Amino acid sequence: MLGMIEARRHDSLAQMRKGTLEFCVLALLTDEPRYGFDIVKTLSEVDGMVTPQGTVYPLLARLRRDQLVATEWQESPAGPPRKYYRLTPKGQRALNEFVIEWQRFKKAVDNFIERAEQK
Amino acid sequence: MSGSGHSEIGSYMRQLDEALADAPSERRREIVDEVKAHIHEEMQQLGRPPSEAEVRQILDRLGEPVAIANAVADDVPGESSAPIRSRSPRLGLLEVVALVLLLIGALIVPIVGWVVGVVLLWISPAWTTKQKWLGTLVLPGGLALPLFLSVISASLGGVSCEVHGEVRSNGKHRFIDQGSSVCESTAPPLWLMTAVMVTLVIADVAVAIYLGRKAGKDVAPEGST
Repeated sequence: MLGMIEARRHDSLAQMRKGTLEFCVLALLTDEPRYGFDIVKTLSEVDGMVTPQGTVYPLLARLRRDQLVATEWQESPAGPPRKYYRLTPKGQRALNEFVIEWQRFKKAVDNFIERAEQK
Repeated sequence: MSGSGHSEIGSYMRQLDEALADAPSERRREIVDEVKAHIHEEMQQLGRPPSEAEVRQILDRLGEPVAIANAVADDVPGESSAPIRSRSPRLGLLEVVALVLLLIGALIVPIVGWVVGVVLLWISPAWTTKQKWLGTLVLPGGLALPLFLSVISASLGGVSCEVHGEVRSNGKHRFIDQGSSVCESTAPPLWLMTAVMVTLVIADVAVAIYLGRKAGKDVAPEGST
């Protein structure tokens, strides 16, 4: 029984990460286009973004299909050309909307946690 | 590049390819290419041929091929502890056999053949309930039904003939001289039967094709909420 509860909690954390990861990717692309490997590496450097690196590529593919990012090939200094991802206007709008929702959500969750901690 | 490192990578890529067998070929190629490029970049960063341990670490960080394939199907990255699909809803062997039996099962083993097709149809996770009802109700008997109907109508249809002429008798036999006969069929008109037949066959085949194309498309993949 405890095992099931833990599994459910673990699962909801996984859901949260799943839901926010794509916006973290979009945020990463705000300043400049980046290539896939670079994005994956940066994501994994930040503690808390636990996800197999390989699963980011399907996410990038989906973002491209949804037209939130666009890709282009660029020559790389040593080796085959690299696929660069950049934010599209649609992607920028999606990111902006998310940020608003995220701030609201974060505030609400923090609020409840604070109350719990005060007791 | 160390020899054994090569073979581990090769084996990993093979597993990835297999795990992606159900994915559309373009997406599959896309992901395989990106993962290959990723591994290449990792090794470039290293600057020298990786040791076996380093290769393992690279592959570990990439994650299980199944997890990547699941992410392709979900279109969202998931943790490697995500449930592995036991049976992805798609047009697999079960579905193909179901459709074949629905269409011609009754021709192979009367009634039972079709019934088995229906059972398989309902067992399969590849169709929604509505689609399953469609398959059951529009295809009763499959192609055997039109065939059956045409046989029935042919035998039900009698032919009645009127014979005209002079009747002679020589005591033993009766002969008809200069006779002519007018025969009329009491079966439903041929054009009507053909139309019904063709409509049924088209409906059967159309539903079968529809179900074939819709297999796995309208159902939620297993393991997703």
